[in-house]
Amino acid sequence: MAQIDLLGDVGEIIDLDAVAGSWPQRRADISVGRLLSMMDRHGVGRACTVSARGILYDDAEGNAETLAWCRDNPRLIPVGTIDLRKFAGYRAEIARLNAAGVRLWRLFPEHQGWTFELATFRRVLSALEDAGAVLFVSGQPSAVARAVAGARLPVILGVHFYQMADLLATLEEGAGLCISTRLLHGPGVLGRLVQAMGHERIVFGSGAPLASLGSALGCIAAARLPAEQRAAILGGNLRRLLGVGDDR
Amino acid sequence: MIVDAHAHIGKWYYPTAQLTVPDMLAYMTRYGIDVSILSSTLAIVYDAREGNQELAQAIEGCPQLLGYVSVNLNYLEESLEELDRYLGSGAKQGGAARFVGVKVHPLLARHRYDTPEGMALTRAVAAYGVPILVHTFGSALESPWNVLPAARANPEVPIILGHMGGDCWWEGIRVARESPNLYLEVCSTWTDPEKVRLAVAAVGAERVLFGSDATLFDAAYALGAMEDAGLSAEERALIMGGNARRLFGIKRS
Repeated sequence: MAQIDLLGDVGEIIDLDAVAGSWPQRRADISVGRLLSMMDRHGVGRACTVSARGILYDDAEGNAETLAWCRDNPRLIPVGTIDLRKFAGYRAEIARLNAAGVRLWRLFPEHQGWTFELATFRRVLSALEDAGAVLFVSGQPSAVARAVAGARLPVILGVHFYQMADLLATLEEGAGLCISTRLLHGPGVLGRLVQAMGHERIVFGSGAPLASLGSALGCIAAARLPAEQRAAILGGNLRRLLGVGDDR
Repeated sequence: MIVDAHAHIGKWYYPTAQLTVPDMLAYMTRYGIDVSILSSTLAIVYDAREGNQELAQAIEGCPQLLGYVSVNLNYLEESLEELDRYLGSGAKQGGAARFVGVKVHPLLARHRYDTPEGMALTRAVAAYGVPILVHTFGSALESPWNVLPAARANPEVPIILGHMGGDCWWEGIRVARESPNLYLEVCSTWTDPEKVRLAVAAVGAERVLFGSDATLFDAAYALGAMEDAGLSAEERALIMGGNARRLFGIKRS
């Protein structure tokens, strides 16, 4: 497809937003093998991968599974998660994964039914700060910005472009959020966001294999950004955030 | 030949690029889309009559652009007049002659399709021999199951389940299996790589259509998803254009 060809040479592509395991809510193959084959098909070098078991069932079991996958497949970067519905043991779990080299953490209010004003979120946020983590969450920009204001860690926000007005207003108020590209598929949205916040805090994410990598990459190509901005969004910015090198 | 069976023209209430007809023609060229079938955002969001009129003017003189007559089930009488205005025997002049289907948006009108108005509209459309594109998603108001009674009662009317159920696309597939005049149009924020493949397995490639939801979405999003659908060349040819050409009577230029 022409839109993918338009990406050109962008260096190593790293996907912020990948998941693996099993998905009960609809029929989907999200096995590690499927994820790797999608990455191969689209030229994605590495993917930050979280266990669906950790999101939906048991965070510690899921995190253990993630570490095992990533040991076997160096192209997968491990992502830790804490289930705020359980909360118990979160500090030990964060310390355990931190010792194993996990830097990126994801929390899932959209799957676990909690909101950012809860004390559980504040406590886990504090523990992640102490661990020197990077946090990736999805939510309403205003609510996330309010909840993480003053936090001592980088926060990456997943946001649908339907919430773009709130996102732009939040950025105008000085929020230092990083933004995932996953759901920025409205025409001109990525370019508008680069104008509003620069390109250094925008990070490529796809949702693969639950969502199409072709769609996610197509939107980056469609934005027709200068080559250095495109390369930064597709990999360089995340490498900097996570402190990892170029693996090519 | 690629036909985009689900596209729009007009303003959106998001801070996105507001694409004009020249913008749309430019991106169609860029992506290799030969024909786009449009509904007016003004028509589906606010005033159907005003929007249809604006659309007729917009597509006049653009052979790559065809139109859906948008109707609002809260205004049945006026909707039937719109059908006649753009699809009836008098509608052969200028832009009016380029309308090839009917668009219904149950969510934006807050009006379910499984109502007397939905049934009456479907019956009326039968006289014009064109397909109906019905927006479908997961909520009760816009569920694809709401379309089934009218489809069964009017087997000669092709009804396209827009977004194939969206965030519950598997429900769209189940519904389409229930009536042979139901078709699945694939675009939505949910780009599960499996969904097009499962749609084809359930109802055959002949009843699946490509759409982009441009200008709400960048067409690159839907085109990229089709790359991951795992289709054979024959299936792809049908879905990307062959089915739409057959359903809407589009001839190769």
